[in-house]
Amino acid sequence: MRLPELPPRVEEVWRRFRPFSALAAFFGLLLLLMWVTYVPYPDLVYLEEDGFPSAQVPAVSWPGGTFLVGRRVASALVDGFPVSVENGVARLPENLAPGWHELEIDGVSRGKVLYVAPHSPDNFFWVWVSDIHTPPFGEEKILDRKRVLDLVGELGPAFVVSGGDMTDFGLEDEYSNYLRIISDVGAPVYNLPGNHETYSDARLHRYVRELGPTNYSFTFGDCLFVAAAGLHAYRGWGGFSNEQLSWLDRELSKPAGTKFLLLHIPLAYYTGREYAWVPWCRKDNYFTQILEGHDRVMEIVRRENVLTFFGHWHTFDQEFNLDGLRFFHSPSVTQNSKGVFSAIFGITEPYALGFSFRVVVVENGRLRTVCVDQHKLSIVRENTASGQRILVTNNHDHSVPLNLKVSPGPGDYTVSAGTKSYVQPDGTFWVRLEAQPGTTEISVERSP
Amino acid sequence: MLARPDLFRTTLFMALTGILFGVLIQYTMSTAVVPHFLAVYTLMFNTIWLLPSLLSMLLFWLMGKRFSAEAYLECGYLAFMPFYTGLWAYFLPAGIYHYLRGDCLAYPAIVCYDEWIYLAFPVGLGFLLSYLYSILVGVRVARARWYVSFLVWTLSLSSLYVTYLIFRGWL
Repeated sequence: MRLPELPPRVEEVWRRFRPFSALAAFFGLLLLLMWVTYVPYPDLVYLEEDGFPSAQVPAVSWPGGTFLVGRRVASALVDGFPVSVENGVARLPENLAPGWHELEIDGVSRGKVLYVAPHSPDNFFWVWVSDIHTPPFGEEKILDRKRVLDLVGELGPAFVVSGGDMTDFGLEDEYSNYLRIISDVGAPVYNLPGNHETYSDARLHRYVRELGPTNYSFTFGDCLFVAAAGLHAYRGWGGFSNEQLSWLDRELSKPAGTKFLLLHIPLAYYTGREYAWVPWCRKDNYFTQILEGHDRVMEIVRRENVLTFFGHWHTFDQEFNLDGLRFFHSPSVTQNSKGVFSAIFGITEPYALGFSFRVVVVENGRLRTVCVDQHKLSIVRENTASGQRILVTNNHDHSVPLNLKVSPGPGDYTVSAGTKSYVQPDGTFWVRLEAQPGTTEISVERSP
Repeated sequence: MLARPDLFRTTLFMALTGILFGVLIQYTMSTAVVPHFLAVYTLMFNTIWLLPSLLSMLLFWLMGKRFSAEAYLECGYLAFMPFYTGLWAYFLPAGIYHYLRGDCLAYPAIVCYDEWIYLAFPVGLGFLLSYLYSILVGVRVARARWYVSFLVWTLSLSSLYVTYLIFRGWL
């Protein structure tokens, strides 16, 4: 059967267009595929008030301290013993030992979701780690990261925030390796997703299954911590939908002495990188990777005087002050290539940081932060006949806060440096000190 | 090619290799092939030649040169083969090497472990060759003098900023 002939005019147009038709079809199909698979924002999961604390977002408190529970909660048991609950605030007994505790709320066990930190709310420190980039395989690379997180745990922070990009592509194997990496930290690890978690899991369903809600808040003492996923799926930048902006506004409006906003994608920074020539990433005197809702978030941050922490770029160790607002850009745990410019011009820092994390000290509402490079800090313990010897070698040009857990066995001990606190019946105690540059020796001796 | 240009055939060939490359680059970088990224990567690598080719063609036309658009675009497309070959030259052996060795994937090897140098060298060399071939396209297809073609193509490569904006700032 013969096809009917095309009118001469159409025939002429087709003859002219035919050479370009494959190109147009190819690009058209690719654009169609991109459009069909496009996910503007991941499916965010907001932790409800009644859902806190949970295994994935535990509560952190201190001996004799408080922690939030839902306002409708009537009773709470810690390790089977009742604690007072009033207006959604539970109060712990003074003699509760630092460490993890079972929590039962209104007769329902939530498991070990309460961490009593060996810190005072007036003087504590927490650690920001980000961009761990756990690979799906490669044991040596996984152990590299685990050594950094083990050091973080050794410092003895009240808690740790893992600020996104904990995996390379959000794969199942990467999450199981990541959980292994953080398994010996000891303190709670609060997670928030980064852009890399969306790369094979655009809606973050796998992330939520493995690590819990994407948006939540918690408190420690008078400090409020709000973790938010300002992400676009598949992209190296982010934004906030109207729903997320309302949530952020509500959470950051809660009363607190010091407020922290924890993000993965940088809200404001001043060192340009590969997006430096994208006009919509450039503001008057800084850069941003938050494209939608940026002005509104800045408005909230300004109104509530919020301290903002983020990672993402791996390579900066910078505090950025903008009209009195403070933004902290932290380096990465994962190793970084020195990069082409560093290789050519011999730049090594701060453009090639890696194996690093930020320690944040909050002392009577005042904030101090230091960045720690794993290769510049070592803590070596050895048992002696009368106790223990701890050698801290700090090769930074600044001091590093430590809260070392010491378990020399039953008995009464004296320490040669730092302040001893939270002595337990089994002889365990914590030593809080500032490790000055150089070597600090701490002798733990049994009292005669 | 000048006598019997066939952009249709060249596009099919480049599309097929482009899709294969999209799959290869994703698998060696992540062990997961995501349709959205397949589209983005394939579109990006197959667009790099397009804007400079269109802009240079427009400039030659404005200079009064008359030639077959099909032949010019086909030659422009093929001129970028060395650039694509440079990408393959890294990703194919590196992907197989790292995967069999089980140490890491190509993505962290490039961004974390200084392997970008093995990528930069063939891609840089490929781009240089593509640049020279593009100038030759101006000379042979548009019948321009070599230094005119050099200037036109150098100017046209500035359109890569638009490609950068589209893929870095939008897609």
